[in-house]
Amino acid sequence: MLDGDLSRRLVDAARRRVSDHQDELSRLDAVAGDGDHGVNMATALSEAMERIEALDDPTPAEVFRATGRAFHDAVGGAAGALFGSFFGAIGGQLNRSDNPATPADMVTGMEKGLTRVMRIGKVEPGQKTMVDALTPAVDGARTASGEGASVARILHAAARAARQGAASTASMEPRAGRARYAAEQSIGTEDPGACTVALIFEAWAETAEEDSTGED
Amino acid sequence: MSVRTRLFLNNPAEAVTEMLEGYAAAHSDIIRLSDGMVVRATPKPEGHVGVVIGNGSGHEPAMIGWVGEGLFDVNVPGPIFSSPGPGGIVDGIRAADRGGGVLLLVSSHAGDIMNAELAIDEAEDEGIEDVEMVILYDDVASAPKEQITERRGGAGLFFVWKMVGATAERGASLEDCARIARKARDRTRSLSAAMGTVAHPVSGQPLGDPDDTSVAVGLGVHGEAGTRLGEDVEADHISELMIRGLVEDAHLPAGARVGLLLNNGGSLTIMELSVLYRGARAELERRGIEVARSWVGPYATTLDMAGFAFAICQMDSELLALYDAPARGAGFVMPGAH
Repeated sequence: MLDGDLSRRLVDAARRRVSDHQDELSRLDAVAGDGDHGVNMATALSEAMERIEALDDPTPAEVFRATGRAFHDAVGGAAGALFGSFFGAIGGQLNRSDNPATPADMVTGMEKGLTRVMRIGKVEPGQKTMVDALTPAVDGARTASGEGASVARILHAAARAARQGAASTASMEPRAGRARYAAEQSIGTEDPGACTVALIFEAWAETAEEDSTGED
Repeated sequence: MSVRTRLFLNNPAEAVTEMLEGYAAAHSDIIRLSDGMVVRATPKPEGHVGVVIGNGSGHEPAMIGWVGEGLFDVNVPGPIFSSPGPGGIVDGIRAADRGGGVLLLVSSHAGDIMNAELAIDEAEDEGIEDVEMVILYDDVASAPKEQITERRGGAGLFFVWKMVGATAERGASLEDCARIARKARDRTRSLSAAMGTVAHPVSGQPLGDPDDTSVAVGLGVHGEAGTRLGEDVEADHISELMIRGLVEDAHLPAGARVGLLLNNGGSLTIMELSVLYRGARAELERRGIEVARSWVGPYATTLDMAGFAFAICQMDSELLALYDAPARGAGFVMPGAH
């Protein structure tokens, strides 16, 4: 089950993981973008944790909504808009669910988040964006959830699929966002947004597993 | 050539905030800071259309230097090279509202458009109506002419801001201000060139390949890569090539009258700019195109990029009058007499 405390620890784990990899993400972004993706994502997640720590015993919905707003307010740009809308959609779905939320509620939130990212970003899979990691992650989560898996197993399935999806972006030619103007330079390099998605799901899977030792 | 990785800053993460404080203090007769936004020191009269723009920082004097009489009412600066988020843009719309409607201008970049669209939805949810958004583009290198709406915003938007600012200052309707924005956009083209690159001040990452010192044409305003011309290329050759690209894309006939902008992308010398301008002017004259107005200097920079952009705007009597109207910003002044 997903309660407020696990939600908070998921966001904090994402913050630590992205912060540890921020230079690598910025280097990927400098190939065809403006070289600040890692810094921006780390800044947004730090801002999210500050806002979450200021809440008194937050619900899962409050944790994810605060995270979404932190991305919108603290970093802006395309990545701020898209990641913010993804987390905001999870928060919006959990707000309509019980507390603690079920694994199925979380997966529905992720599905809504993916739909929103594709709509706002006007992006389809195969265009070398975060959607190429997020789509397989959500598919993997949905399949695991359909088999009645725990939060930890669902997030493991999502993380594995997200990592494969991120790796697949290296050979893609960018068709959306700023990188499309530097298409040639970008081939051979993974999309930084897709890598961030994979890092976040990997951190989430590990955190949920620590939490669920003994139960399934 | 090397990329300058150290700037005269304190904590780079605070650079934008500290820049705004210093800039506003130095130009307190024209602008002031309000909740992280740059607003006019003397607001325009009630009932006039407010003009607002959000944009990434690192391009100064764009757009903090373009707030003032005859220009923008509000600028919402974002982080370096990143659009501000929707919340900041909604605040900007509210601050620009003088009861005559608000025109939100957007230089076409993925993040700027997404955040502006999110902001328009949010403003509507809050009951702020009478907001119109116009997306502006001019960079011929970023997409072929058949996909002109896919092009990104570049230095040529200089002309659009100037003409829309003058329209709003005269008390024109929101509809009329938006019409001028589209008209000026559709008559404007730009192309940029640079050698080497710059480093992002916060991450320290050089954008693109720091060891490639050849001249590239068609770069984006955030250092996005362009087409390489090689190292040994004369200024006249570059000016001629770029002007030819602009004139052909716009299908400018002999006898056309244009405004010509030469934007300093950061660290070019007046010597280089003057030589480049001379070449561009000669190429336009060879084609029988009259340069009705010129502006040379730093308008939209990319930190200390060793680069520049040419832009042309095909003038008619309406646009020329708007261009000549008085304007007073910290980074751009039009005295109003020719």
